[in-house]
Amino acid sequence: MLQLTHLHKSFHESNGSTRQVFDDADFRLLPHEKSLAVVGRSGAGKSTLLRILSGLDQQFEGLYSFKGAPLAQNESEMAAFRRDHVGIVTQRYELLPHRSLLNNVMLGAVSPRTTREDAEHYLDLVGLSDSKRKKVRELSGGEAQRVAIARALVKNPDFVFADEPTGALDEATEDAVLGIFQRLQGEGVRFVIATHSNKVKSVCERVVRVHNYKLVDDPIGKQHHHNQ
Amino acid sequence: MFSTIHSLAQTLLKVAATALFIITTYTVISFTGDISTGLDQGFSQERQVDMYHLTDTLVDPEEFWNFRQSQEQMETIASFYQELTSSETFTFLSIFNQPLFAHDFMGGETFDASFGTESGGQGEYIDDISGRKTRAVKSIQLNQQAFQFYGLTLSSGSVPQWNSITPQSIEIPVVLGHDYQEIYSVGDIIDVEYYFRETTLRVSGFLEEGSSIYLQGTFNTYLDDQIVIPYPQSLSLSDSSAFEHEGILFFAMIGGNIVAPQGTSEEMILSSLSETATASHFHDYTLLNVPTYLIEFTLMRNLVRDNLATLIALGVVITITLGASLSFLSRALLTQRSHRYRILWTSGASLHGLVKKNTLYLVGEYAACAGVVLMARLVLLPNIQNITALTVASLMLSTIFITEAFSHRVIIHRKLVKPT
Ligand SMILES: Nc1ncnc2c1ncn2[C@@H]1O[C@H](COP(=O)(O)OP(=O)(O)OP(=O)(O)O)[C@@H](O)[C@H]1O
Ligand SMILES: [Mg+2]
Repeated sequence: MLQLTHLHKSFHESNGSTRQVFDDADFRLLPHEKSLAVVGRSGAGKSTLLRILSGLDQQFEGLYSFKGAPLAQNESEMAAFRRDHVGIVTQRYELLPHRSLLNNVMLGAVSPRTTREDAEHYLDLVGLSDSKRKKVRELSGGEAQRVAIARALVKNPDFVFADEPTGALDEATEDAVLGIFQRLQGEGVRFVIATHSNKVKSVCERVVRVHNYKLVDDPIGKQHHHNQ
Repeated sequence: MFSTIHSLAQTLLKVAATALFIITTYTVISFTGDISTGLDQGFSQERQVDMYHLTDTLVDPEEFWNFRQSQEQMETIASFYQELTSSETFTFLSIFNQPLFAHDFMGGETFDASFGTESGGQGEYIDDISGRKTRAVKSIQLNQQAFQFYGLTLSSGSVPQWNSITPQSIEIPVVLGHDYQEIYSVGDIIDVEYYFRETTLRVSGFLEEGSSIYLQGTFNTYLDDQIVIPYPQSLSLSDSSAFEHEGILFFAMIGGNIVAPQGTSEEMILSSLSETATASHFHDYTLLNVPTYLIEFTLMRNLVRDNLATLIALGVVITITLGASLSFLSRALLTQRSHRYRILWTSGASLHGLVKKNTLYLVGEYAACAGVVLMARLVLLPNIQNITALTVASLMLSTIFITEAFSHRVIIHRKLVKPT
């Protein structure tokens, strides 16, 4: 399980003031949980939380542990954690527009274990196997998002941290992406998704809300889940 | 990972621009060095001259040999030389570079006539006739006019008494290049075979370091490793037993350069020469045009001198422009690579690994650049071997590389870690 306790996080803004984001917050992803939604109003700290969880931001206070062992707050250990366990889907897709889909997906494979066949497999999984030689700039937003998902999956991670993965998609495309997520959950991949979408919330097992610098379980989310 | 075609083109452009930058610097420094050496010496003082090359036309060995056997004919050369050196239209610089065969020579192989050439030479050997250790060493023979024209000055000792030297002298006072200073002292003697005659050379003085003259198309022929033998002031014949030495000496002495004040037409020089020929009854000469390199050099030198401020300004502008476009290209390339690096970092590559990868790219670029510069130097500027310029160029290249590697390191750390 993934656990981050006593999290304190603030930003020093350019005007000299300090912007508090978390104050003694606790985050847990329990062993049996396959999907978790993180919600909260804009600017509450959802993206910040995901960046901390994936080690992209190490400027925080708190105890971070994976499977009971502490994760050191240093660059190389967090990079290794990402490399071995975490796939990341960002709010902006961050693709290389002039490269082919296949090339872009391969960029997610930092460890040499990953092969071109893996990349082709995940492009197939997100339904883009026909256009794998296309350039990214020739894609629609939904297709680009699916490439970014394939890139996050290509290393066969334990976790996918996705920041508003369906934010720019229409409902049908959102359904398709969520379908992919659910299929992967069946294969053992676990998702933490920052989102504003009720639909995404509704398919996650648990919903936590960033509120008053803390992380609290969202009763609405639970209710919704139990109602299903 | 591969670069896109887009960034491949940019990489090549960057390599080419950097190479151009370094080559320009190298060339400018080389020429500046040449110019300042030239300006230090009399050759390029305010005196503006045109230069021609005078040579005899007795190319057929038999004809040449017959000529040397005839006392009458030899007299014509003696008088031709006399007329040449007393012309009011021009100055005659008699210069030749026949090696000497020095016996029991104290210097090492760097003074060998073949040193630095591809032929190798035979080094030190035992001479059949004298039975002494012998080495062919570099030497320049010149007349007083040439010595003065090139503004040669001594760092120690004294200039030989020109009027004490005759074609019959078997002891000749000589001036040695700067490199000889640790080997011989003023007053020492060196036994040599000089134009087929055993001669004793007595060291009279040492030239300033870096002294140079124009010789056979090379503007800066350095004299540091040369024995400089003064020619006699006038030519007179002894009996026919000495014809072997004197024949060579006489013919050597009428070869050289004619310098005339700028504006003297070639016709004027030719007509003056033909008067000389008529007076001396020697007609087997020809006048060759100024070596083009020299004209170009003189032109450039004048241009540089007259427009120094403009040229410096131009140089600064070119440097700034090239520097700016280089840093722009480099930034554009880094931005492109940074995008890729960010994705790799997000996927789990460490910053350390990415900086290393980027440094390797830079090593590749600058190695390619150094290769281009070296090739260009070999192909385009084979005559220029300026160690200072080469050192400055390599230092510049290394500095650019190191600066770029470190600034890229900082930029990668900042850019990637900063949240989007
Ligand atoms: N690099 C930074 N420097 C200063 N302040 C920052 C920085 N990054 C984020 N913040 C601030 O931290 C707070 C949380 O930002 P964050 O991006 O986590 O919000 P969010 O919940 O993801 O919002 P949204 O729903 O709009 O994506 C915001 O007030 C934001 O202005
Ligand atoms: Mg956000």
